[in-house]
Amino acid sequence: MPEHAHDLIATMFKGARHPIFIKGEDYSYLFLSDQACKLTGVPFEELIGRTDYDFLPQSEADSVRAMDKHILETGEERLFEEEITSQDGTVHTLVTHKRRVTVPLGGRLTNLVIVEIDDVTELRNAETVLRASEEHHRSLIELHPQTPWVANARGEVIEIGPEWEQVSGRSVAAARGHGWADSVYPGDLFRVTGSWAEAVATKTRLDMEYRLLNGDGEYRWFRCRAAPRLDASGEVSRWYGLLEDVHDRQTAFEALIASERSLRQHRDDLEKIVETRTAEVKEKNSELARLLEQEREVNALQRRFVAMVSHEFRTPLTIIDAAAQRLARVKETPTQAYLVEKSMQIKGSVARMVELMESILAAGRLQTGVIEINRKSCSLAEIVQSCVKHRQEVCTSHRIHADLSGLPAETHLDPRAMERVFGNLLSNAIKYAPRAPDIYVRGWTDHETVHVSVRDTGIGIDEEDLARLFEPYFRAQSAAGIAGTGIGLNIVREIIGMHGGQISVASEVGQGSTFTVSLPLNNQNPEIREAA
Amino acid sequence: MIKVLCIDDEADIRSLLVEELHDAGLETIEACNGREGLDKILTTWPDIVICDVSMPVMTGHEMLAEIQLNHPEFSNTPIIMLTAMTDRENTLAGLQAGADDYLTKPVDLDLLMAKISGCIMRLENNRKMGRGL
Repeated sequence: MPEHAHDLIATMFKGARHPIFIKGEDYSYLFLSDQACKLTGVPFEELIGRTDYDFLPQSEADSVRAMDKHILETGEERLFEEEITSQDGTVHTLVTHKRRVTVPLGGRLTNLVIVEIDDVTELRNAETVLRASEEHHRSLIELHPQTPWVANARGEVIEIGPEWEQVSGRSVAAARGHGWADSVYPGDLFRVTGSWAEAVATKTRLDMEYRLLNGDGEYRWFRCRAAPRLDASGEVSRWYGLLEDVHDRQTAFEALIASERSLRQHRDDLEKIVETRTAEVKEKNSELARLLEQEREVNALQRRFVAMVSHEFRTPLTIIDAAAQRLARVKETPTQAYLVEKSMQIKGSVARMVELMESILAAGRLQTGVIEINRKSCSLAEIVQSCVKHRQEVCTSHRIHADLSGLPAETHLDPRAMERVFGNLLSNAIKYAPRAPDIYVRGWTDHETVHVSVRDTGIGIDEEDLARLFEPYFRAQSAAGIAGTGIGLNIVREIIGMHGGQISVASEVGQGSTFTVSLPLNNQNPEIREAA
Repeated sequence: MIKVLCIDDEADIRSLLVEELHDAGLETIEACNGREGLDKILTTWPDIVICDVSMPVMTGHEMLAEIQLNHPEFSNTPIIMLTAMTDRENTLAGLQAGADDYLTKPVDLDLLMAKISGCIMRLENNRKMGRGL
């Protein structure tokens, strides 16, 4: 090779970035670039004019020679990749490009083989890593029940994974654009399209769950996530999405919620039962307490009654006893007047005791319900008048003023019961008016009702006691210190009630009391017998 | 002469007591309830009081309380209660209120007169001592 041509090639290719070899028609090396020398590890001077047989094994040199020969004869190019182990032991991936060039050399056209080599080791390594990573992700995706999809900036699906066909039983093509929405459960559709439109408009990530119809006509829960990929100007270039089957998880979750709800319901029910039972127990307790209180009150009333009865018996007994003691002490012959006085004291006391005993018996009969009313044709005016007379006879401290002209001539009543009624009212009037000597008795008729009132101007009754005045054993506060059993007015009310009538009282403390008995004129069938 | 005040709302009981006291040569005054009895104590200064418990207007116990509270100068006057109330509580209440003795009805006149004699003896001894001073 002439010096000037050699210099030209050397100048052109010596410092090239890739290893370049040039072989002549006799296959000997005409030129090697610096990189080519470095690659072979042999100095330039030792390679020039040598052939591959000089430093490659026979078989390798044969195959290189065969290729070079083919290229020189046919002019075809060769591009191939091979791995070689360099002298420092590292493996390099080389891409070799061989071609034939024809240059005027030494006055004639000479064919040369130009070998250019690219070291693509790093590129290939990067590709391997990338491929491995891709496979890794693909297998991950394939393992998960996920369907990848891609949508354009307007939110129209342009690609969807083939899994879609299993998910929906519809073709991949059918999902494109907004076709996928046809598989969404109608109840979720509004929410799904709304959220997707909003994500597209605001370029924000989407993550939501909804139901999709599968090929078997069943709805399954899916989680759909999507994220936008933005270009340099901040516009969405693509949406990348994943559809994940979460049905089993969702149904398990729902079952959990349902079970929790039922548990809570059960607890609430239990609490309600406990509440109800507690309320029942409370109610029963308060009912028991009320009954106990009532019982206590009745007991207290009865105790007071027994004390009063004892007191009431002892007073006439004291008179009789004292009179007897006095008679026994008389030393001389007693005067007739003295004897009469003592016998009157004894008789009066005996009468009191009989009256007391009878009213107690009547009260007992009232309580056991065996009292009877025997109506007869009689005159109420006469009965009342007779009571007034008897009372006036034994009472010198009071004057009883009676006006009974307003009463009818004939009535149908139980005369003995009526005697008890008016005897009691008159005795009360005297007893509770110790310093007001005038008692007024008046009778009148009003339509079909007869009325008799007994009025005193005595101590009167407290307003709060009026309502309970006719209850058995009850005694008004104003009656403190005045002997009485508390059963008289109760008997009066019962007798009047059995006659179909009523008794009322008007009173003022310190002014006196008026008791008014009202009895119907009709309903006087003498056959009527009533029991309390 | 010894003056005895009889307070009872029962006229018959009063008259029988008065008879017995007259026989013993004592002077008597009568009242028919606690209020009237208190008035008589304040106006007639009785030496001894015989008093019922259960009476209208003012009971025997109320009268005792009134004396202790507002008329302490009469708190030394012997007061014998006569009552038809036989329960223990009543007796205790009367004794605590300042009664000197408590007799239940029907009353044993001999027992009553013995108590009155005792009261008279003490009264006369007190008077002698008072003169001696």
